[in-house]
Amino acid sequence: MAVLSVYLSPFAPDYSGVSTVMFDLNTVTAMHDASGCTGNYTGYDEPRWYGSKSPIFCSGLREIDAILGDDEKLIRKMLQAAEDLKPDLMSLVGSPVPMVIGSDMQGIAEELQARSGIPSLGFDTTGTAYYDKGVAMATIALLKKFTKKQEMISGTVNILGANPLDFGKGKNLEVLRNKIKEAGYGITACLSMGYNMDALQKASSAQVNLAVSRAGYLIAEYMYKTYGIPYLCGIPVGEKAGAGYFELLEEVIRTGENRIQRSTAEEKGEGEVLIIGEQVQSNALREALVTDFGETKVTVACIFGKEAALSSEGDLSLESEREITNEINSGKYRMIIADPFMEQLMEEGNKSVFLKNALYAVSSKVCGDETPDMIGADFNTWYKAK
Amino acid sequence: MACSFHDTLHYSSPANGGRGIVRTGMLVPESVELFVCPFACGRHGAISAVKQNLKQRLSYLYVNQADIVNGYDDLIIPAVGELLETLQKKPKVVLIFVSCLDDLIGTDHEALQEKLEETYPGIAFRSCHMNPISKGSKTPPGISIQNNTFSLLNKREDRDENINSLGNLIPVDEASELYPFLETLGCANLRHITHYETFEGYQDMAKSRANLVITPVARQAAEQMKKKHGMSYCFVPVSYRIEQIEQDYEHMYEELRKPGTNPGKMDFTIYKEDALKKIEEAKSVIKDMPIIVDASATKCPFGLARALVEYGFHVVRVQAPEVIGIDKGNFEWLCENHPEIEVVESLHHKSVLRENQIPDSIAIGVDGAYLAGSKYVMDLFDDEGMFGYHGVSCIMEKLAHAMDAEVELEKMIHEYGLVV
Repeated sequence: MAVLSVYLSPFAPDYSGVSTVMFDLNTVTAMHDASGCTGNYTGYDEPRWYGSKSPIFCSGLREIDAILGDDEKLIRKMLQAAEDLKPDLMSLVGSPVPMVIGSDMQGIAEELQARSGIPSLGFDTTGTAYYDKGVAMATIALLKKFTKKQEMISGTVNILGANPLDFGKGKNLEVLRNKIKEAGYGITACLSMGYNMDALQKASSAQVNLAVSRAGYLIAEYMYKTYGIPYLCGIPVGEKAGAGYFELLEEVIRTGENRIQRSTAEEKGEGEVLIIGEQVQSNALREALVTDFGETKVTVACIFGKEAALSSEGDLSLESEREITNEINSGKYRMIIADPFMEQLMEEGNKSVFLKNALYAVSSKVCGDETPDMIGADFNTWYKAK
Repeated sequence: MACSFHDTLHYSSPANGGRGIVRTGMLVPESVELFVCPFACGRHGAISAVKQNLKQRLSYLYVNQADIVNGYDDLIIPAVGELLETLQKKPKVVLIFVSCLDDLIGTDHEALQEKLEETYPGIAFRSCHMNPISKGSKTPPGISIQNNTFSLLNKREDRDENINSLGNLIPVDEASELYPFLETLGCANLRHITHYETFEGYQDMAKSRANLVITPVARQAAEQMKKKHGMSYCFVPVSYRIEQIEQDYEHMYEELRKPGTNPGKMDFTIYKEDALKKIEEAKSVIKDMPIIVDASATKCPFGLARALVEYGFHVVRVQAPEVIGIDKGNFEWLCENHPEIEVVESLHHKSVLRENQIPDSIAIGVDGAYLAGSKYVMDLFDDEGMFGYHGVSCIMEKLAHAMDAEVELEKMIHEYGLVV
């Protein structure tokens, strides 16, 4: 069903999610498009692009190639680039045109691998799904290709679902890594931001997976089923809530059972606080508001899709600008935490306090400075200041 | 000098891109744009529009896979109605943009436009294409948006002596000798689309007797206006070579004077002498400093490099994604006469490595500066504001000051708000 969006900019798509996962690896990755899709990623979805030498390219798809289904041209360009750049891996990333003409990106990747001897992956991304699907799709494909089951090493964890569209350049992620280390855990791999092939291959030896985004949750589910690694899904936001997170981690280690960080608020349903954003981060913000600041009515509204397993009663999935606008102006909320771009949706007379939490997948580099420091007590400092 | 370009995977540097068709379309006064595409296709245009404070005129109808399979023509008409209800001020023009995939599904845009104009009287509609997949064809997006923009001018009988300037997003600098030159031909007003705040006022451009096209993207539009309005045109791409500029003014004199008239020729001496003086001044300041010329700065980077070499500057590199037709002669001249000058293919996959950096250099253009790691940048983008002898004087002044301070390149690129 077509959806009108008058004020908000489009959110980050699946092909950008895949590309962010490939960014750190020694690949030759090509987005199969004319130029604009690659421009989305390099210009607005990859905060690390400036100054990097990450070999992520555009295939330079042209009308005649699409009409003739000329995959050979793409393969030739990939092989030529591989000869010059000597990658460990090649990957092909789909976009709307390959979707329309039915290009088999995985099939082309198999052909590439057969001809070059270089492991290759193909992703049937379409530009009609959000980035988190791409992050999960690419990371799981990499795990399938490169990570064999191996012996568990006690006291080690992986971070799953780390990506720049949820964590920008990674300031909060860095703090999180330090907190994990301070708590006495070793980090085997941080998938899929700030890692390398070696870490990827060792990822199945971790004792616990820490899923820090919806994409992370999807990856953690895969790793639980494939390697038997239990997971904790959440982020240690807030002083007390953050301490609770590490207690939950201990519990996962002790029991081997998965845990999902959830609000302990008694009252559900209509809330006085509305958090709009990515589900796992929004859940963690709610946990902090409830545990550290005594809020009792906090509603999470997911804008990139809602996982039932991560939801509390009354949580929402807002799938269009109209739905977001209606919720923001419903009169139910004393406070709204959302990306700065959404402030313009507040209608005249709406007295809700609007707290800005910039999401790179929404406002890209335009609002980069408006992401709060949120790990542990940093959140308390930010929230009190607001 | 490597005298060939290769068809490789494309590298997209952070400095790659242009002003974009969103911004070009926004030049139409009292217009709004509705993009009909998968949401992904609109992201870069939208974020860039936010940065340029244009987003309030840009909306989206996101289509999903089922809409694409079924065809989305019928969805557009009610979506336009919903959009018009939302907007506080009713637009005079709605530009409906579709993306690359539309080229492959056969939307009937003529029928759609008719239906829209019938449903929403008093508003002009145009089907526009944001389809870089058509690059290399006769009508890539940069050209088709110009065609659409100027097709909105209605034919009229009351013509005057003035001339339009087509294709350049920004008018030629008002200090240019172009204006007194045109006055000698009876043209007191070189009309440019940015001069008009209303759609009604914009229609004045249909009164002009001729078009001056200084960038190749508007040649087709000028051809179409010739057919529709009987308006002749003169194509004179921006050049920085004194010899070429002299010929250009001769050509313009012949093409733009009123038929049957023989006005006195303008004396360009003071303008030419000023340009020559500024060339010498720039040379005395930057001396032998290596110069990189890049296609983000000018449509004809090989032409600019040739001019600089002829003036005695030390050009070491020209960077471009391709050689465009009007620059081919300059490219060949450089290949033959200055094989020592390096050609960097900005889109080549090896450009990602940013090898052979030249930090102690002045880059004319941000993309060239990025790949070379230049400390100094001469701020010029797409020849904006440049023309004739005054254009030469301007770039020489810029060149003379290029080494005043090291560039904050990332900030400069960010401020440009480029779109691929």
